[in-house]
Amino acid sequence: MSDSATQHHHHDHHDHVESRSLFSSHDHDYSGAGRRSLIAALVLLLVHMALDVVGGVLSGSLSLLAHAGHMVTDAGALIVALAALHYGGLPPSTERTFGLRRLEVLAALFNVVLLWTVASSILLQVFEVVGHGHAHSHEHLGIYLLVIGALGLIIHLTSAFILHRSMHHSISVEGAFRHVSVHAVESLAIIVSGILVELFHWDFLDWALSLVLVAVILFSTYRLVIKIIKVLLQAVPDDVDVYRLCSALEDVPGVTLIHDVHVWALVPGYNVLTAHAIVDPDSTAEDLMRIRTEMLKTAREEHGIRHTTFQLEFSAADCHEENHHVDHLMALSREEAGKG
Amino acid sequence: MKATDSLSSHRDGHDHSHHHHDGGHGHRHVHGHGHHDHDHDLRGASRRSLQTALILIATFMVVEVVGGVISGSLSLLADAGHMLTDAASIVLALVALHFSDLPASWERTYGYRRLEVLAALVNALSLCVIIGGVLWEAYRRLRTVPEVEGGLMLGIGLAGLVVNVLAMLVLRRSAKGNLNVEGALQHIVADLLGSVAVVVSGALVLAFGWTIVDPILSVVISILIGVSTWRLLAKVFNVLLQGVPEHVDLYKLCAALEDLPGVTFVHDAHVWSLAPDYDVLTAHILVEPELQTEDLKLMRGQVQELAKRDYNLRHVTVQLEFTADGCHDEVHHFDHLHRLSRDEVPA
Repeated sequence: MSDSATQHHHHDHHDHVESRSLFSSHDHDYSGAGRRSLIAALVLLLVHMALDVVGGVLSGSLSLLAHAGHMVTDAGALIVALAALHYGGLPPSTERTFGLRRLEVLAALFNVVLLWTVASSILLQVFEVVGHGHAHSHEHLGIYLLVIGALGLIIHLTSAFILHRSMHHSISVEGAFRHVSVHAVESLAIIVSGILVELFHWDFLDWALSLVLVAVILFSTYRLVIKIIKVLLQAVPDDVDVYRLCSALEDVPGVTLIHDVHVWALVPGYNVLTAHAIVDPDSTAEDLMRIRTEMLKTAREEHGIRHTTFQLEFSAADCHEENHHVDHLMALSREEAGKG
Repeated sequence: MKATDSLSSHRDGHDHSHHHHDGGHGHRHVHGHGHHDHDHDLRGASRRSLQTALILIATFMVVEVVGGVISGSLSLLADAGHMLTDAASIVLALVALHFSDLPASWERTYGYRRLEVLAALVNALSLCVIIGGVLWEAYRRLRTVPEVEGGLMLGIGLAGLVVNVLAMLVLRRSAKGNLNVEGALQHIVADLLGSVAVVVSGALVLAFGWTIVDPILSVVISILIGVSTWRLLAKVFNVLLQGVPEHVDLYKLCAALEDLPGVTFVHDAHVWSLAPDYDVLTAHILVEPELQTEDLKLMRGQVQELAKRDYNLRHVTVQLEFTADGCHDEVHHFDHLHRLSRDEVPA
């Protein structure tokens, strides 16, 4: 964190603080974690993934492949976190006035698309297996599941330990722990089904388990996708109530009306506000400065806005804008209509 | 542009009286019509050309399916499958176009204009999948050369070529400056190139029995598609990353703004695209402290005129400040001064 902080004086204290943003729903919070522990966790994850894939191919186990698929998310998320740490800190330019902060969101989207591809290919395989019986599965399927499940459990516990150490004072510990525990449970499920398959030859357990793991993958991405699409649509972030924000801004003495207000998030947690405000035409230069300062304070301290641009106007005719997207007045009448 | 009665009454508090109600209605009415006129023409044209292309492709697809079922030809059915992906991409573009017209709301202050760009993203990504499929097929054919029915292939290929060329001509004009239509167009072009490959390799198979030509052409074509897909993706990414649109030189824009009388310097300037035909400018402008209310009004008008006239920026929000301390923003993303000093430092 500190090495990149020096390169650009504008970006010193806030740039990496909210790298957590997108992944907070997924309970990843890498902001406090050092680059090195991220890389260590990534290497462990990749090793485990490779084990799963090799074991899955050798034994024909779909649940091992499905588990490997789930770890693609995690590996992806770790890589994304690393990349976002790197590129997100690059200074803005005349080509990208917001820098590459948004890259984090697109990378998360890529991650999700990759996961869905994996999930659908596993589903296709399950259908094939169910259709043609269990011709592909190895005679020692149970052993494979048992061994690789156990190795996975060890690896998850190790990476939990590593992440835990470097995120010692971070709120992300809880999230990371919950995530790792999901994997540990998955590994346990694989071990148990391995035992059952070996003892009773319940080979169907393998593909049934893989279906469950695919369901877990899809479920874990659902909320993330909603979040990503909202950001890309320039939608108002969930934590901002534009209506209340407008009312609060209009409560600033000297402000008559807020119109043409826009709130969006560059990345989750970094909210941008632009608004046109009609102010008392008799305002002096000092008044204007005070009004702006108060508006800024209101937006920032009470409504979680990080970046503001207020256009102060003296009369409605003063605004030359052709579009008035969300007009405070417009929604007032809508709400009143809704009550009636 | 504003209903002034609503303004004068507004300051009497936030009990949101009837004046607001009335004013709001009048207001909504005015803007509901005024602002999108030019826009609507273009978007209407896009919609019509997409619909025409869809009808062309869907008709041909149905003919292929019927012909394929009657004759039992797998290649006809396979080509119908290609047409289906084209049709799907056009339908996606149409759906995005439809929903992007939804009005702005408290949850979406920019409405749904971005949907068009997201549709283009989906179309570009599905092209990537198609490229993968084509390459995989070419690889398989290199290993085990399939029996090719040269004559039938030639016929299907020619017919597909004609349909795709027609669809391309229909879409080409609307695709300029509209990523959504461009995404659909690229699917058509990809299919068109595929048809060319079918015709050429069909002819060569008929004439000389060169079955190897088909997989080789497939590879060449997937590279061509790949290049144009990459260009589309780059444009989409620039929009989604909130990058400065290609036609705007932010440096020049800032310089032009600073040339306006009374302006000291421009900072925290951002230009980005909501959709390719809708660009947004926000900037903080430091002005001379002795300016009066009237001067500020005038200056804001000049700024907006300049932005609109020279750069076609559709939505402008400028914050005029009297002192540098007046700006309390914690982040100064792009600082004009900063850039100057960076330029002056020898690389």
